[in-house]
Order: sequence, then C-alpha cells, then structure tokens
Amino acid sequence: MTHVLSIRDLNVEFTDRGKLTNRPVRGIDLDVSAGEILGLVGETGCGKSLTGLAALGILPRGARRTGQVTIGNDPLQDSSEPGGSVAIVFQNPGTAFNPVFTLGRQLSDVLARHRQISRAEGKAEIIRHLSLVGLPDPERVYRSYPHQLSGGMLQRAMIAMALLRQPRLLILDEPTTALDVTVARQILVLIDELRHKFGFGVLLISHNLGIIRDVCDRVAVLYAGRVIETGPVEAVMNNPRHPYTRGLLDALPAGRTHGQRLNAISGTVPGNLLSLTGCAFRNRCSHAVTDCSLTDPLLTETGPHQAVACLQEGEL
Amino acid sequence: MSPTTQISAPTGSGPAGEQATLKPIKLLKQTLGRDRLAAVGAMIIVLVVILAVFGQWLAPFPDQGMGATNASARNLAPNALNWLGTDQLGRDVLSRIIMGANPALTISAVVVAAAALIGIPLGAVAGYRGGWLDEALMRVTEIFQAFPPLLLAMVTVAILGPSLTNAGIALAISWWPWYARLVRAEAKSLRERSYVEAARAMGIPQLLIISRHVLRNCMTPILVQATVDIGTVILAAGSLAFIGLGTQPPLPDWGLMVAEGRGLIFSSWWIATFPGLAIFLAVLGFNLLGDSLRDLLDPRQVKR
Repeated sequence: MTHVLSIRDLNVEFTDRGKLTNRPVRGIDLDVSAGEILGLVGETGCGKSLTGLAALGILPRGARRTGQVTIGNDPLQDSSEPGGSVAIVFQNPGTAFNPVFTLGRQLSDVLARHRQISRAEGKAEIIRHLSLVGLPDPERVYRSYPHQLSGGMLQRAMIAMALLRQPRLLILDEPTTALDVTVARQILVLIDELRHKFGFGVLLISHNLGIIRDVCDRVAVLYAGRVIETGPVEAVMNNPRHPYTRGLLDALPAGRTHGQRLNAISGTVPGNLLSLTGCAFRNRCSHAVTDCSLTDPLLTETGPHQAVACLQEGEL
Repeated sequence: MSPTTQISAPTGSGPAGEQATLKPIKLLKQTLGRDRLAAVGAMIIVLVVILAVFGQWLAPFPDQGMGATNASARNLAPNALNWLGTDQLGRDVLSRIIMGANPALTISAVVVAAAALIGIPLGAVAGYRGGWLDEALMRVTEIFQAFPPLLLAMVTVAILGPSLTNAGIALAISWWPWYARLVRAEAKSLRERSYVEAARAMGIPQLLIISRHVLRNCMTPILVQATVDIGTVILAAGSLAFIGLGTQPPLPDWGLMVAEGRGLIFSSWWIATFPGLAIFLAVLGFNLLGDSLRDLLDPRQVKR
C-alpha cells in the first residue's frame, strides 16, 4: 500500500523573539494510505488542527515545524506555500469564502494557480467539479455569492475547490461541525464516495467519535500533542487500551437510558507542554501510578496494527 | 430590489460592510434618500464639480476670473453687476470664486489619489506580511506623522518653490502615511479571516491574496476617508495659498483671495468673506457625505 502522507517525529513549536514558548505537537508519527480515511481525534487544544496545517505546510505566524512530512514521494519543503498535491477543507464554510466575490471567481483563482487553462475551459471544468460534489444547478452556484448559499452547499463548493487541486491527500478539519446533522451526514457520504472515485487519502480531524467510527478506516487518538493510541477503527472503538480513549468513549451518549448522567473526564488538557515530565494524562487518569510522573510512555504495539502509549496498559 | 434589503442588519457570515460595497451607486442613492445631511453634502459637491468643470462659461467675467484687472471698478460692494462685489484690482469676486473651484477640486483630487496610491499598497503589504517589513514601514510613516501635516507641506514647498503643483506634491507627501496606517490596520484584521487562510491553503499566491482578499475588503474605510480628505485637502491647499506657498497671483484661488482681502476686511468685507465661505461650504459638503457614507457602510461604528 502506498502512503500518500507520512509524518515522522513531527513537532510544532511556537517561538516568541527566538525564545521557545510552547510545543503543542510533540513527536507525532502518522501514515495515510491512498484511498484511506484516517481519523484524528482528541479534545480541543491537543494539536489536531496544527498537525493538519503542518501536513499542509502552512502554520500560523510564530509557529515552526520540525520533523519529516512526506506527501506521496515528495518531502514537504520549509516554506509558507502549501504542498502541491494536498488540499484542506475548513470547519466553517460560511467564512471560508470571501463574501465580495462569486464562487466561480474564487474557484477560478484556485484552478488558474494549478493548471494553465483557457477561460472557457476553466469555467467548464469548475462547473463539472461543482456537479461532481452533488450541487444542483452548478451554473447558478458558479454565479452565486457566498451569502446566497446554505452552509451545506458552501461546504460542497469548498470540497469542489479542494478537488480542483487534484489532491493526493485531502485534509478535513472538522468538516461537519458547523453543519446540521443531516447535512453533515450527506457531506461524509460524499467524501466516502469521492475517495473511492479518485483514490486520494483523507486525514479527517474531528472531536466527534461518532463521525470517526462511521467513516474512518483507522484512527489516531491525540492527547497533549502526542498519539496515545492508534489502530483500526473497530479495534480501537471496541477494545480501547488507553484510559483516555476509554474516557472519550465513555462520554458518548450512545447506549444510555434517558436521565442517566454522561461520564466526563475530569480536568483539562495541560496548557503549556514544555515543562512536562512523565505521562501528560496522569493527573486526569484514575489508573496513574508513581512511575507515570517519571516515565513518558512510548507508543508500543499491543495487537495487529494497534499501538498504545500507556505504562499501565498490561494492567488494565 | 427594495431599498431596505441592502442595508438590513448583517446575518451570519461577514459584516454587512463587506456586502454593502457591492453596489456603491445604489447605496449612494439610498444614503441620499435616507439622510438629509448627506443630501445637502452631495448637493454642495455637485455644485462645486459643476463650477469646476463649466466655470469659464458660467462666470460672468471669465477674464477677470483669470486675473485681468479693471481699475475703474475697485472695491465695489455687492451690486447688480458684481453680485459679490469686486476686489482691490476691480475683479469680480463671484467670477474668481467660480474659476477657483477648478484648481481647488483638482489639487484635492490629485493629492488624495496620490496619497492613496502610495499609502494603500504599502499599508496592505505591511499589514499582511507583518514582521520586520511592517515595523520598518510603520516607523517611516511615524516619522512623517510626527510633523503637523501643514508644517511638513510648508517645509516641502519652501524647498521646491511655491506653486500649485508643488503644493500638491507637498500635501501628498504629508498625506500618504494616513492611508498606509488605515489600510495596514484593516489588512491586519483581514489576514486572520478564514477565507484568507483558505486562500493560502489553496495555494493562491500572496500578491493575489493581498489584491483580491485584503484590498477589496478594505475599500469601505478607504472610500470614507478619501471623501472626507478631499474636503480637508481643499482647506489645506487654501491654507498654503493663504500664506503664499500655493497658487500664485493673479490665478484664482480661494485661499489666496482670502489673503488678498485680509487687509481690507473692515472696509471691504466681501473680498475675503465670500471665498472663505466657498472653502467652508466645500469642506462641509465633503465632510457631510463622508460621515454619512461611514454610517451606512460600516454599521458597527454607528453612534446614533
């Protein structure tokens, strides 16, 4: 199986006037194969989105990437330009388009950047892509301003825009969070169809385990800038090995009777990870032992393709 | 489309100001319909523009307007022939006011255009790129802004020599930093918008992002600022002419006319008063329209 994305020892660091201030992503390894959907899951502030942006090659100001990112066979260069065959779809489609230009104009800009093509051909190509993502009346969408379309339609247009780049890897950063449930479902079905059709790999960033379970092939659970558990979706969901993964699954409302309280994981993600020693989760973990504050657990295999970073893994 | 739909409160994405700029002419009509003061301002501006364009055919004594003297009719009070009286060289004050509209409007339009052309690109690049480039450009603007604009213009004219053209150059030099800072502030907030991030992620080159997404979305404050500034520059150019650093006699200029009539203000008040009123009205017109444009285009700043 060919990897369309392979990340080795990725760190994202924030510096202020040359001084290191935080390291929200700490040594992540990830692989996404062609045609595969890898889910990236975790709480707010655990480094999901930064990992996605780092894979794309665009980071916020003041952030720095170390480690290797390879898209297809090409290592990502150190620049602010995004890599050639990656595309991203953002969380809020309502703000991802410039309100003063038509969608056709904005999609043309992307296409013109990617391919030398005549005006008429470009328009035909964009309309083809708009119908490809299931937009009815693509001619009208082409002429529309963003405020004239619904969130679901805009998200489809955003996906069409991403497809114009002929990506080998599509990064979806919380693609359905801003949409209502039925529209979200349609978008996910669309993504599933498109990846089979075009064979690109998908990195799906979400905090919604329900979505991850439904559409992903594999999942990587992030905590405090680390992968703490990874494996095939069924294996991780049915047999979670890390206390954090268990906590996340426990917090799901599924399978509960009305009126029953949901279990929450107490505490919050540590803010600054620079001075951290030992396991980042130990203060919120009910299984923590003395050794947890001394040794930082490494990701170790526990089953076929499944790996967990927990010292107590064998005891649980 | 009914008049109310365009100016309705913003919903969901993007402030209304961004969408409101889509139809500037339509908006202008609505502003004038809703806002009496704006209508007054617009009427004054239209009048000044008509005088500037057709002045030489409208003025009763075009040759006197350009400086021809008439020694037999000196210092006449307003009368049937010379509606606003004559000055100490016997020239018709009304004609000179009418002929003075053209240079006043031309210099302010050119100065504002030049200041915008210099300031907008610099401000956009500084605000979007940030970092050392931003720091450097902003320190340069601060050096310019540390001087009172009129003083800086006076120094420049003193170096270049007094004339209308040099006054224009001097004013443009002292005016562009305001546009640079205005656009920089807008660009700094626009660059954090998701659509700019999305454009970046889609591989749109930086220059295109700046011209498309940043500049296009800060046209509103620029338009407001430019409208008000045209009035302010009329006043500044008049001030330069008043102290002898702008238009040179015998050419007609409102500021120059005030200076010429200053010594006779108690005996022949009309010589200085009417050109002063012309300046006052022109500046007022642009200010009224500019304020109304701001209220309409940027609902977040409405004070009412």
